Amino acid sequence: MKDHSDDLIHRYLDETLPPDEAAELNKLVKNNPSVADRLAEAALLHHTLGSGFRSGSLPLRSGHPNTHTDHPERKPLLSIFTPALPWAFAAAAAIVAILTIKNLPPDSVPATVDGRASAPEKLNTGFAVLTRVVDPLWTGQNSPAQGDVLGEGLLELDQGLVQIEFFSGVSLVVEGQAALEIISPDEMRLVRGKLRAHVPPPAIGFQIHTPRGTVLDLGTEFALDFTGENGELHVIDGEVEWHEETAPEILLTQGAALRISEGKTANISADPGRFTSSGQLAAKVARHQNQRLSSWQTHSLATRNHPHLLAYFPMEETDSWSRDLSVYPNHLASGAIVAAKSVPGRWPDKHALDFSPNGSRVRVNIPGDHQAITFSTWAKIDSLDRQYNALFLTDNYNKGEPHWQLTEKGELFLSFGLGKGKSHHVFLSPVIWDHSDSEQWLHLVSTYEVATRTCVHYLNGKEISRNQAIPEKGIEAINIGSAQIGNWGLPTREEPEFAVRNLNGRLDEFTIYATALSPSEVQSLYQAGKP
Amino acid sequence: MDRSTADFTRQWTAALPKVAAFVGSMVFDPSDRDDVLQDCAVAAMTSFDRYDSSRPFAAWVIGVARNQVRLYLRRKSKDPHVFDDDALDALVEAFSRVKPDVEHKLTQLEYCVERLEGRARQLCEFRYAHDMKPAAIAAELDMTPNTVAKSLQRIREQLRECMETTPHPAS
Repeated sequence: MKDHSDDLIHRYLDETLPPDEAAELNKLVKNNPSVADRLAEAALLHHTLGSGFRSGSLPLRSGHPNTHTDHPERKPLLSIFTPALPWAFAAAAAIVAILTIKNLPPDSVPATVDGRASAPEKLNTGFAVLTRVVDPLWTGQNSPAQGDVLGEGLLELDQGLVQIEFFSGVSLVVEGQAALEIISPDEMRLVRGKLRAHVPPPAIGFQIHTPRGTVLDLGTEFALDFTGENGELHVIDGEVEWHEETAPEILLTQGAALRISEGKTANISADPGRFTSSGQLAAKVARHQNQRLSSWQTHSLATRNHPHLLAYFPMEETDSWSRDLSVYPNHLASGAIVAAKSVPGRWPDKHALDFSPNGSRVRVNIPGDHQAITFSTWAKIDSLDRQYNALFLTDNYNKGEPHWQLTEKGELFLSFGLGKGKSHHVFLSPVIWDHSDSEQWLHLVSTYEVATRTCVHYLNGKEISRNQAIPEKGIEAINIGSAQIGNWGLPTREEPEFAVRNLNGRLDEFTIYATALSPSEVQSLYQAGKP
Repeated sequence: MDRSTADFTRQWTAALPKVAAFVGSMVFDPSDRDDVLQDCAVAAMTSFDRYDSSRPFAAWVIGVARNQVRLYLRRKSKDPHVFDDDALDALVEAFSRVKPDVEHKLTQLEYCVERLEGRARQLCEFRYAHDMKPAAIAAELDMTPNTVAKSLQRIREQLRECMETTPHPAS
């Protein structure tokens, strides 16, 4: 009897039990507690084996079978929920998971109604956005850039000033040196350092945990400064509550402040001047941007005289109605802007072109045969929703004519036509862009040398791939001629259809050199132009 | 974090292997299983103030999980499922009864899995690391599904015996 019921239990867990025996197991479980007990124990072992192997707590010895099918990719939130072996399961992970779940909007819990999973929606993770930065120096694991969504995890700001805006509406100015941890849209921890928080009415109830206690905001503005267990809480406007584990809460109103030192709490008066406000931060950001812009302008003058310059479009047009895009050297004809909109570039006072309107492009003509080439631009990409997303493409695709674009997957793509009937040769970089980068200005560079048949791709001054084509895929020279920035294809009367390749994003400064710039030259271009 | 959240987190963490095993024994699809487990966490968290702390937490939370599992089975009602409500209740009781020493023994699992050799080890990894069913493993290893199922049963019994006979390092 025991053997038979064990057999049923094991086959049930292996999902090989036919319906008639399943009915038998159902009956046994109902009527015989020892069968239910054995099923529970077997299920516990079964589960622990599965989660142990999947989490890596149980080491794998054999390779992957050829035909195995992975189950669908686990969502990160859920993967920490699938426990590792019980002894290895970190309580910290559970805490984070619980807090994350607690704050999920109800419709973000994945629904499987009628067993049909809804189509995957693009997901981003986080609770706040890094909206402004002035010379930040991050240490530790996370070093977010301006515009990045911030999720869980420790942020250690060694120097500089940053503004963080929570999705709940709370806005913080944090001054380095500081360490903090975002827990949810309405909860965070200040490990050390100085911050000023503005809490608008919709975000009332925002909490900041400190090493000594918790601040609960009842509206408007307060500041904190903590070193170890000692610190100060200043109420600049409105009311806050201070909660310590062992003491009754203290209500503080505008102008009041607490000093917590050696475990004792004393009333002092608030000193807002000690904490940078978001207005002061905005002014610093503006000063910083002006400095960066003027340093770029100096560099831009030097670029115009680069010995190997083929075409340089600084995009400094001040007249947004002008359809001419000025180019250096001066003997080239200016670019012709079609549909693309003039928009702010890397700095508020610098222009860029937005290629998202239908048909957007800049038509150019660059004569000559060249033995090497470098394409360089700054791009801010809203989405890569076309199969190919144009950066710079020649109108035709004859032998030696380059196409520089981004693939749907987010790879940089440089290719050359190889002549009639011989297709082309493509150099792809690793994936450089995903949706979380849509607020970033990225510096994109690709170089190619005819003699070595070598293409190098760069992202933000760093080499990301280097590939050599086989001799059969080489070309004798690079030619451009009629081409366009930000799009491809000129429909003709006979063939009015055209591929949709206009870049859904902005380009700011576009340069072509008739040489393959070296890694150090690319790095200095990045340093000179980074926002 | 307020005290009740901290308290909940601590208890949930301790009970998680049992809850996950309970859910996993009813919900076989891995992504559905994670969804149901997540629903359990949310349900337990939101009704934590109704938990009577004089009762064992694991038993309470498995009761919460039971409702989520039932809900899931209802939604999936097109597929025949094995257990009716009475059997489900019997299993809730059984999972709540699992003795601490059973959980304790599981800490020997790594050692015991390491001692599996050759084909046994391979079968174990195919089943658990790659989540393959006996039929798929059989095709891979040129065995019959029935032999694979029997072997898996033997391997789990072997592991159970090993865990029972190996002294815990701390003891």
